[in-house]
Amino acid sequence: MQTIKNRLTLILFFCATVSFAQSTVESASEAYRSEDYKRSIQLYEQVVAQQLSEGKESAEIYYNLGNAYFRNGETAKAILNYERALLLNPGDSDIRHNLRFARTRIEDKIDTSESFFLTTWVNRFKNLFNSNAWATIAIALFVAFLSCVAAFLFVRRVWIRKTVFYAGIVIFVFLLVANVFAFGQKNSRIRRNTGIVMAASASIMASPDANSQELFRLHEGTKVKLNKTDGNWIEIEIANGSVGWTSKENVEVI
Amino acid sequence: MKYCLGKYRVIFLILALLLAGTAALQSQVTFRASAPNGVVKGEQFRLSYTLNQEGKELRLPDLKGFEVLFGPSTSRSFSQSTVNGKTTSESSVTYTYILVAPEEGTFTIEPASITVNGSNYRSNSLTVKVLPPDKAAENRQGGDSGGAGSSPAAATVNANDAFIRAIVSKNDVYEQEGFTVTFRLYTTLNITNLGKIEFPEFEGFMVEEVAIASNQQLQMERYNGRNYYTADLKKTLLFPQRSGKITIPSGKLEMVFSVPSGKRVSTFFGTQEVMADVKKALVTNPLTVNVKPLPDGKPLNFSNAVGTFTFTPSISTQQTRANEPVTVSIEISGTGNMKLIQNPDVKFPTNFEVYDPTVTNNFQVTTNGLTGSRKIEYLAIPRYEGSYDIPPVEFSYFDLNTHSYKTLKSSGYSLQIAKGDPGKASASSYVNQQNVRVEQDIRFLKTGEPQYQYKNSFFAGSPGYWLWYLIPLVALILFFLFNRKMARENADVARMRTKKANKMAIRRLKMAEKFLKGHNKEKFYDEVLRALWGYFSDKLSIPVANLTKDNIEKELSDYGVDPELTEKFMQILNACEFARYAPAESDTAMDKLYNETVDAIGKMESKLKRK
Repeated sequence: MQTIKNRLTLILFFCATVSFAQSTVESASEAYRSEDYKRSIQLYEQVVAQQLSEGKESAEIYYNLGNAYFRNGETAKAILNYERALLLNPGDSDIRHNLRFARTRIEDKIDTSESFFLTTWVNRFKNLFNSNAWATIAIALFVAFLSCVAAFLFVRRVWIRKTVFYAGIVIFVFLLVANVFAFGQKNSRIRRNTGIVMAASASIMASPDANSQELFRLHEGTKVKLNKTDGNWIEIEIANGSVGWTSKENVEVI
Repeated sequence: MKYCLGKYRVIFLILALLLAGTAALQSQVTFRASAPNGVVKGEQFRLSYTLNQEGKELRLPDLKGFEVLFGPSTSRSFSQSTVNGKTTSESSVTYTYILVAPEEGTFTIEPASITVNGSNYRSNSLTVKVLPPDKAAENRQGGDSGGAGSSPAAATVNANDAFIRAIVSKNDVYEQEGFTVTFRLYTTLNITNLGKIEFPEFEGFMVEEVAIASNQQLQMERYNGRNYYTADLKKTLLFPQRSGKITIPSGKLEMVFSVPSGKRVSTFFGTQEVMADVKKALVTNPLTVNVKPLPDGKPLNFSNAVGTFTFTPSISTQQTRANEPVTVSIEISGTGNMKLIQNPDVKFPTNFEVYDPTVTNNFQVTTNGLTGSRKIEYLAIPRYEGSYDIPPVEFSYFDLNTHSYKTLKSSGYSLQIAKGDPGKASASSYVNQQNVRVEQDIRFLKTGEPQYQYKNSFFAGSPGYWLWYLIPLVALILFFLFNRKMARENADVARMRTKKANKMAIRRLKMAEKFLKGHNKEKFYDEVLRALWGYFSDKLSIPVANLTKDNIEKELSDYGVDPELTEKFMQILNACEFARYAPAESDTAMDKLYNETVDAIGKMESKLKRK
């Protein structure tokens, strides 16, 4: 009897938390619609915090939170949340567009060396899906590959054997690519080695020491790569390859 | 005779002139009163009425505060001018009265009336200020007459005798608020000549000159206890362009005055003072104007206009065809810094071709600012049919009466554009391709249920992921190996045959063998029979119920079993049936029967296979 009661309360609690999250999301979007962005931000942040405590994340919530920050004029936080949303759902065109748009509002303009066209293509292809989707695709390709092998082994007709032989080779190549992408996406989410400058103006030093020479300054909203840490200092790298140290609180990890 | 003609001609000419004159004069009657604005108490002045026609019964009003010393004296004037062969003439009658004011104060002279050709005309009314007598002048006069020798060489101009004042209409103004600066000459002396005039530069202001009558009369004005003759030299309308304290520097003016020299000469009329010409440079006082910035809370579309305005929008048409122009006109009228108003923004739909607005200004310079109207016409050509909306046009300005920002708003317009003449379109716009504007804002929220995913759990690399690879792979390998084995075994035909035949027989006689070992004679024969019947049924595809010993023989030979083997089967069948009912049968017989049966089935199987 006790266990049943426990289970019942547990179920009730679960239902309550789910509906709580749901209603918070709804009222947050309602606040956004009525242009009360501060309240919308507060509610979305609540949802994010609650879901993180359960070890969960949502690209949509990050995206909506980013929108609310953007409307409230906090571009750096908007970019941070868009980047987080993009990590979870790299293929989403809305997230990409808003991120691109928000980046036009930041102060720093970094000239990136023109990347090789193939790299751009591969990245674009890789970013079509997230890790799990690529993994599913890889398995589907593997099953298709095995079917080709089986057909090659057991079917006697020559044209079928020829067809499945070449199809098998192509499928195998795609299978490898899908696997590379699946693990690549997973790594980029596990490593979390990029960050957004959150300080209005952060000085980048030559060494992890407040008295060292200032190399350059970055302003809020700029995306940086995080190379290594040293105490309260972090080594960052910007898109043009410049490297420097800055205080940890200037940067927030995506 | 010639003289006569000449005489007539002269008379005719005079007649013609008179007729022409009356014809011209009959058109309009003017009857004006004039008197100086300021007079000194006890001094005489003239009040004149001028009529541009012959009139009678001049009736003076009650001249309260004045005494008529003399009048009216009538004078007539006649002027004629010929311009480009066209002759115009004017005649006028002036009635002059000499008045004196016994009291100080401001008095109004009511209109006088006169009758011209039976109708009554009234003059304008006048206001006359009666100033107290000039004490300083009297004193000086008295001093001069008393001690002439004391200052015989005083042929100078005192600073109090003549000076220029710069007078501002307001000291404390808002940015862009108009005010006037008047340079006024004050003098008690006669001016013989005007020299070089240097007016100051107005830095930080937009400047508009106010026209001053070139032949203005000297006015009497009392300043600092003295009566002066004054004349406005320059009047300027200024619009400050920045806030803060702005100083207008001083200007300079050189004048030649005629001053009593102190020398006296005896003339025929008695002793007279000789006047000397004295040159004097007059400097205006520098002025500081406090310019207040416009208060905070400027509307977004503030047009920089300061003053009082009205706003009349209009549209040429609301129903037209594509490629026919539409004009929205906005007329701003009022008083203020009309020249500096920014044109209000009219937001035409994006696929209209919009031209620069044309501005027509029509305003006069007045002491309050520029008064008049500014008409702004916006021309746009709709290129596509459809219904469009022009949002309300807003004009916001700073109202100087209420000291607040005001926004005037037109009503919006909705346009119905019908399909245009295709020929016209190609003639007027040859480029029809347009760039679609890129998105200028972030996209909207993602609606619907958000999808949650676990933060650090990934399908790629998980055990499930590898199992998905492993299980199909192993299955394929096993299937392949099994298949290989099968193929190999199929290849070994002979071994297969016997093995298969024996296997079949052994399978059939499995139960029988069990009973054989159990020495259960009855069950053993039963089982052998059942096995055989079943075997034939399967092989010959005949149900067991339809099988008899007779048709089996026939079916077997049909099946292609050689007669020897058929005979053997029949023997076994007979033996079994017989033994079932026979009293005793040894184990050896049962053993023998079993072996024979196995052998027979094996033989039949291998025969069938060989076929």
